[in-house]
Amino acid sequence: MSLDHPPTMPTMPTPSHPAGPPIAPGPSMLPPPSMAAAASSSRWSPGDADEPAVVIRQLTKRYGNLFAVNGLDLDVPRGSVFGLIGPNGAGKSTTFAVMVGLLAPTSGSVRMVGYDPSRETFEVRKRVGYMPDVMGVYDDLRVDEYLRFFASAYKIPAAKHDALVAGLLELVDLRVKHDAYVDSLSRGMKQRLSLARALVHDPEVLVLDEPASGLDPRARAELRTLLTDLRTMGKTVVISSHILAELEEMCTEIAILEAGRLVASGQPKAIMRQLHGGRTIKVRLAGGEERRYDVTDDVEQAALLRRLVVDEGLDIVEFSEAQGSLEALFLQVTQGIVQ
Amino acid sequence: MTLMNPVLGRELKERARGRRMMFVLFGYLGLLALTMQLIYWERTRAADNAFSFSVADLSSARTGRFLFDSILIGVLLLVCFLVPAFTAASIAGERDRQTLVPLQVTMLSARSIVVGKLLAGLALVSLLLVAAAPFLGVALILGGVTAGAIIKGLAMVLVTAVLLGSISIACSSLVRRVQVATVAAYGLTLFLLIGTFVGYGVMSALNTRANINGSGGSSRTNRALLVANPLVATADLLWDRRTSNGLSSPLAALQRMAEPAANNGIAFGPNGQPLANQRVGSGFPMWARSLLAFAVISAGALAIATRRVRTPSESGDR
Repeated sequence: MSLDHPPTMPTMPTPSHPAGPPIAPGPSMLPPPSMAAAASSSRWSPGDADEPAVVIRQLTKRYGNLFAVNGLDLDVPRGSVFGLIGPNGAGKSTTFAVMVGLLAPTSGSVRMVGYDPSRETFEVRKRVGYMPDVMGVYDDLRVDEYLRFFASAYKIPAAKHDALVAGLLELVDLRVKHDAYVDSLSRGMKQRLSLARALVHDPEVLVLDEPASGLDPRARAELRTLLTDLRTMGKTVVISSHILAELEEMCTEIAILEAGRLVASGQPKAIMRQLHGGRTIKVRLAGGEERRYDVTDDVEQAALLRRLVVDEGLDIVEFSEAQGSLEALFLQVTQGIVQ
Repeated sequence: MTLMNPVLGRELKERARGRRMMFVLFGYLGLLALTMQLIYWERTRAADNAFSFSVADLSSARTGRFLFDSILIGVLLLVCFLVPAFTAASIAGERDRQTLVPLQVTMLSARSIVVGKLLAGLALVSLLLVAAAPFLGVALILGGVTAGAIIKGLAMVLVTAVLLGSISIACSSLVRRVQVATVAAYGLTLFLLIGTFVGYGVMSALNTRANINGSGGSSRTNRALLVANPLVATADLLWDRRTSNGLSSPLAALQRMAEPAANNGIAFGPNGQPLANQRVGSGFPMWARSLLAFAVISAGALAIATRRVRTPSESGDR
């Protein structure tokens, strides 16, 4: 990729949680708001490399009696691909709208790469790219004109537009369509163009609301590759999707929302471990028989292996940690609450 | 492109490619040409008719003035008809097409977006005014009208376009649906053009009745309604004693219709004839009061639109 202002390479974040990724408790274990708000976002100054890309504390957005988001706490580490999962009406899009400065929160705080989207809107806009769930198109604009328009809207000098647009079209694999009218593109192409638009100002953080929605399997695979590329370029990607298998492959961390509340967050494996109170070991024997054992830690896992091989003399062909699917996890931690 | 407001640049490009502008321009020029032809026939017929023969009708200056008044009023009415169509969809249309949010997260301020939309509408109006200039130029050749009057007339049309464009953009920002915004914009335009006259007539009638009953009434209050009328403002600005007096052109008719208001402050001689464009006392001319009113209304409308487009918003009505 030859963007005119090349993206910065990933800066390895210093974990804000040295003991491992944060794991939010389930609904029944939610701490009182006063405790949850203990971690103040004011301990970082703008531009502080130690600060997570996104810090959300006790975010609440209310419409009358309806809580779209209710006391949400979230940290998104820099350089991660962070998946926000939840059923319809869980508050994902509202959270995104507050993160990018479109909506004012009712209470709580949000910091995007060190800036408050409510008060430092333009600082956030400079550093954050947003792709909404629906992509509108301008009739009678060609693909390259569309990107040039947004480059102008981001106040990028006209002299840099040619190289920038060429680089972006190359990145999203739309170079051959540069002269086509936006309206004539397929849905997958429009999604890619929308992603290119969100990248036009080389943001540090990308907020993508349901980018895979309505795409066919091939287009989804292409999008997945593209997002992986972006991560290697050092971007922090926050993404929401209903297609959990997609997120499972891409995301380094996830957060599960239900009815405006955080149900769980962290690395998918870590969440599963916490929910199971340990890990599940899958054992496959030579005859094809498959067994599963729950263990709490590495010591217990080693003891299990010794017992099966030495004491019981089993002919084991596979001994591995069972992978629970994200979908199973999602169904386990959510209760199907609809507001 | 970077020097130009990006929203303005995109709007111009998009509209220039569409066929609508071409049809509008053809229709507009056709109507102006037809108006001019009708005036020519009417004046020629009047001159040929021995019974209605008069020196005044044959006066080239009066013909020129009549032509100027008629064409200018035609241009003004066409612009009043077209500006809401150009601008009422500006914000609501972006919402409708789901293109407002991507725009709102760029480095463009809400004011830039709104001003870009207004300038795009005004650019099209400017094109219409330039296209009308040759028609008005014919009046200049015939006499009875100065280049200054033509410039003043076109400037007033442009000011009216700013007023109606601002109102239409405010309507567009307040409602989500393009059709509703368009209807609201046309409703307000009709109120300014016709409603103010109706209101003035009704209030005058009520005052007359009150005066008969002895309870009195203020004609000044009635006239205040006409301050917001672009037709009256234009008529007052272009009133010229030497050529307008006794003329039966649309502009002169309008001027006489609003006589108490439009003639407010004009000095009259002992024989009742108005003195050459003199105004008495410190009376602020009607057109100046109208310009002030237009400026206040436009600024208010643009402030409403900017506030509605600004983020972060409380309601999430995006």
